[in-house]
Amino acid sequence: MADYGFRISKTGDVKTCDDLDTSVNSKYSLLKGKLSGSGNITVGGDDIQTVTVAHSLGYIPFAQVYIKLNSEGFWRESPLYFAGMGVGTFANHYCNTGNLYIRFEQYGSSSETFYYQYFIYLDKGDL
Amino acid sequence: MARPQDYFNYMGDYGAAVSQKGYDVKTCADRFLVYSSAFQTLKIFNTYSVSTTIPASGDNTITINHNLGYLAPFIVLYNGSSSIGTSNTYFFCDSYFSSFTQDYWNNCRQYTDKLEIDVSSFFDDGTTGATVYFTVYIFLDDFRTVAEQNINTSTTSGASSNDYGIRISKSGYDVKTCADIDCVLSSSFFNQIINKKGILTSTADDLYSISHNLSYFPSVLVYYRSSGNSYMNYDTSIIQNNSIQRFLYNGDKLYYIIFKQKNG
Repeated sequence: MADYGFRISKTGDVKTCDDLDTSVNSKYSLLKGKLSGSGNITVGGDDIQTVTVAHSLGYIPFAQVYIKLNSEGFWRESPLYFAGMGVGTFANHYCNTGNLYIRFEQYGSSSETFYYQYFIYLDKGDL
Repeated sequence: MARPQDYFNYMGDYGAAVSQKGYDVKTCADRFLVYSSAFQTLKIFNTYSVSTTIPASGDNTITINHNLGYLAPFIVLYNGSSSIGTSNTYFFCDSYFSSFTQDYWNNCRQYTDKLEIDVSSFFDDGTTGATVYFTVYIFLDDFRTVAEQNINTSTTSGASSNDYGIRISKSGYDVKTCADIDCVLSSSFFNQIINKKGILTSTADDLYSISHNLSYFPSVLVYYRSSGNSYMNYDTSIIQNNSIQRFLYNGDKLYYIIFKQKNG
């Protein structure tokens, strides 16, 4: 098959440079973001809450989620896992064919407000 | 009249830029671009579907040979098992929140020529003999330093609902008729444009910061390489609005990619 395509170099001659030195190249896909959004949820002590985001893709995509705890003020990657004596703060995320689920668990007497940001891609999470 | 938002915009240093649908390519913030020759994006080298079983003791190791010759970014997704079912997919962790980082028993090791995934007897629900399934993305890119630059940090939108745009299909697919997922890029989607990437080597046991100039909390991918190891593990970091932070032991390295996408 003829090697028709599209190629833009970032350094060097676009006709001869290594694939690694191209900024886009039809030989290799880029991640394609379908849906992004953010929100927050307060989870009481010894409680579990799940946020559901519909993606309607009909297959399982892959998604990235970032979490900020109100008590910390900065962001981290999901999955997030802190555990101590009698306390714990967990968050992870997973996708099925219809939704992204972001699950929050808070253990101990204190509640926690979780801020979340999600990026759902067209790219498949289950090939 | 709104101008086509996805035409090629010639900048001072010449180049091409494609904005997302609804954003004016000339004025939108960098994070609303799908593509710009001024910035890099992760290129998918290959995807893999792999499986193994949960052992009675020790680890079963999945090996994916990629032979890239350098340490490349990767993503591991757990697709479930014959025990818990395969309807859900988890990002760098099992369904019990156990992360695939160096600190946990579920471990991914990226070498210059292969990626290894350890599945221990404790993996997920620990059902001995259960088959566990994974999807793996390995990217073509390396961690050569890319210095950050901003062209436009505003949030101005072209506010156009017209479906102007660019669409590039993968090799072997008709760009006019193929499914969206078979495109290399399309102005209908957002992308993770790289703001900055590189490798930080520690010189003492300390909390290290890698600055960025975004003035917001960006999305990131980080990997940790312990001193003496020839591989790197997936890792996590503290993301601030002017830096990312990670405690490193003396001689260890942090491989980082800071994207332009904004959290919150």
